[in-house]
Amino acid sequence: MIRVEKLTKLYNKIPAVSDISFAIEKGQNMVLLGTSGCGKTTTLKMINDLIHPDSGEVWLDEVNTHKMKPEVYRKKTGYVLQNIALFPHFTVAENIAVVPRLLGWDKDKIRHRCMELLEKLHLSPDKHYSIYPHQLSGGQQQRVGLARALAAEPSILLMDEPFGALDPITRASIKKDIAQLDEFKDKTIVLVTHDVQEAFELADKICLMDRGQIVQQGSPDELLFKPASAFVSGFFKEQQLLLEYQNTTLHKLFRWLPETHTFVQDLIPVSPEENLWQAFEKLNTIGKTLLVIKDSGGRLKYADHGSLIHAFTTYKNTLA
Amino acid sequence: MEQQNLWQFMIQQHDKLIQQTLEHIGLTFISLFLALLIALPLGIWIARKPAASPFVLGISGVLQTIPSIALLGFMIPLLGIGWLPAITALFLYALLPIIRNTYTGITGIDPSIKEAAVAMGMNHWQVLWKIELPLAFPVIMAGIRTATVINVGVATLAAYIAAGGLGEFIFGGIALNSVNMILAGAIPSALLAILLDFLLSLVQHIDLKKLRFALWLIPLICIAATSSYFFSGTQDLKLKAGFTPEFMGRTDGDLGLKSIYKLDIKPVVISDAVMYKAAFDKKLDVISGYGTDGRLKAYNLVILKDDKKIFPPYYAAPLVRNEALIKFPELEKVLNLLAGRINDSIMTDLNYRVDYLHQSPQQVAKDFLVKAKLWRNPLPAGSQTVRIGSKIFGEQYILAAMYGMLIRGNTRLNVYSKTGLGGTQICFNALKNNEIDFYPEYTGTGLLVLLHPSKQTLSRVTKSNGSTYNFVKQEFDKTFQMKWLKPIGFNNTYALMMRRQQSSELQIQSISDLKRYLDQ
Repeated sequence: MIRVEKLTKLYNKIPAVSDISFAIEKGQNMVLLGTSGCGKTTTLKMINDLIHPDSGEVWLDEVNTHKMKPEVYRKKTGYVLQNIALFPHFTVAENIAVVPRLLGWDKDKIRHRCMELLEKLHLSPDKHYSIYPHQLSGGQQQRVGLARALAAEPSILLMDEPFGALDPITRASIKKDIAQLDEFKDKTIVLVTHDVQEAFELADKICLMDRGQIVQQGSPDELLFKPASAFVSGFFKEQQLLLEYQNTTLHKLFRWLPETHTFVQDLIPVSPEENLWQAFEKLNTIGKTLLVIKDSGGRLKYADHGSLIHAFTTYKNTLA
Repeated sequence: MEQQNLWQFMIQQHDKLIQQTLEHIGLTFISLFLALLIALPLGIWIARKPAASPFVLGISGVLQTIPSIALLGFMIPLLGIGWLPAITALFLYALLPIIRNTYTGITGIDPSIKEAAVAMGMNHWQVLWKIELPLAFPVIMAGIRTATVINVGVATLAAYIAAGGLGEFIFGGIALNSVNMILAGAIPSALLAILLDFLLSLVQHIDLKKLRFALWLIPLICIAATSSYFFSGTQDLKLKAGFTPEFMGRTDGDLGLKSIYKLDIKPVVISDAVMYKAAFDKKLDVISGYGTDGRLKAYNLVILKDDKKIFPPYYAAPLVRNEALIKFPELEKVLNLLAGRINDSIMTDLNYRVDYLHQSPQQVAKDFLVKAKLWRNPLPAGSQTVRIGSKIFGEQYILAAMYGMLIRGNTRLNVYSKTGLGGTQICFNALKNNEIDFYPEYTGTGLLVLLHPSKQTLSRVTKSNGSTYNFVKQEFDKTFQMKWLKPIGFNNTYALMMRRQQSSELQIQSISDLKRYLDQ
């Protein structure tokens, strides 16, 4: 877990980050979200002391980091950079092996770990093991960057706009792979992004920042449906509907959906874990159809355009 | 003199050539190694402390802009002559390229790569050794290559201050007008620069895996090459001799000392600009100089008697075109007014005033003429003009001034002085081409440089001053239609010199005494 208390950083006496506090439980993903220059990257870099705060404390797993040598806990903290920054004079394997080597792992163990990570990140151990970073595509490079951060099995992962340099297709494919990887599931992750979509996709908790301060922190739902200020609602305004649909699972609407239906042409079974956006997509592509939703208790509900909109409106009213 | 090609020259002089090359490599690498020791850490330091970088780069940049010969000149009062000032100067030259390239190489690394290294948990030293130095390596090596090539070039100047190297051949060749000798120094030093640059380029592009190995290789090469300088160096001797590059290559110089006196004194080569001072400062004990040089007096040196007569007489006399003597019938009489009036010690004193006390040649000339009761106020001049030439050193300026004053005081001729005509060839050609009417020349120069006599003739006519003068006079009249007037009296010959005190302590008055002393 990570606890940050009253972090402040001044540049030329002007605060870049002022008085920031948050806590992230073990295994949670937190996203630092905001526009450029809002202090989110500075905040991230203060966690592993790449930038030393002028005041405030950082606790990693209940240890005050300022009482330790930064080199020590940096090795236990994975770090992924926006521009990837692989070491150009190291092979792929050597890049991945950097931290294990610093920790003094034995050669076989390092080799084994490199192979394992290459495979997990959908790179070929045969083809990619001993080539140099410049021989890889951008997407492959960032996969190696992720492998490098994960190599020594850190409990914490810091990611500074890790997908910022990639094209949308590559980005989507890497995110999909990450979502399926065990390596990421139990990690406490702090991720910096300015991409609202990405933030909602990956976050257990979002921390929205502006001008060096936290404007609101909480679950995606809280930010979306209970904005703390006009700034917050303004920040999501352009994508509001899409975000709301994507963040509302059918499970949340289940109680307001009808149990019966009038006529049936095509019945399509969907999982209650799918969101409203996906439900609409299925209805639209297939035409005159009805969705069949079965919850864990075995109960069935039926939905078409009208009933989904109705249920969503009612759901929103309960939140407000 | 028989014609010799470059290859024959190099084979004949191969032991000298090898020694000079080794010295050259040694000088280059000692200074390079020392520069690496200082410049690498300094470059790394200023890469970390950007505030200090303009200061450090500025100072090393200024050092770089000092002309090399001037830098060597500055070194002499501080460090004397020999390898120490030479290496210091070379060391200073090598600093800038290495510091600047180290700094540029390290600061040029993508900052996010350094950030990644720090974020992975590397400490300062690990970042330096694993990331910064390997990535900056090609740039740093480029700086080392530049420094090496500069040092090979500048090291030729080391010959001026008795530090050896291929400059000995180059400067000797220039002084003796020997193309072979110049090339024997210039070609190996150029090849050395190309070869070292090429070898270092191989290191520069070496596989980064072998980096550690390569980094250790550089100092090892430096140390190995360094030792070549000291192995090739001169041994301990009772007396330390320093000769000019010209003297080293002349039969009436070091070669004559070896063959006639059997005197093998293992001299260092040094520029005459610093040689006298070095003798005075006891850095050297025996030097080769000119018999009437003002610095003899300034530094209290004595000439060793040339008891076997290897140095031909260099009596000065006006050398006049026959046509001019016909055109100006009164000229010969006037020029001969000086004949026999100036002996060695008077000339030395006059030179001392000009070269050392920095009095003007005109003033010194007039003072002398007044004292010798030869001075007369200038007469109103007619329309005819006599053109006087001189070579480019103090004694010639003084003589030219005296002749000008004598002509103006005793005739109605105008005088036009064309002084500072460089060396013998330039002056002589000016006379031959009717650009001047006369200039003071030395019998020995006329004999050796202008007439090129055979060996037999040479040994025959250098027996005495009279025979040299007569031979030269006769030959010039026949060959060039020029006349040697009566000698002025002094003999500005080559000579070996020692400090007066040491010479009397060791009772060395002649070159044979010197030989005897060294053989004891």
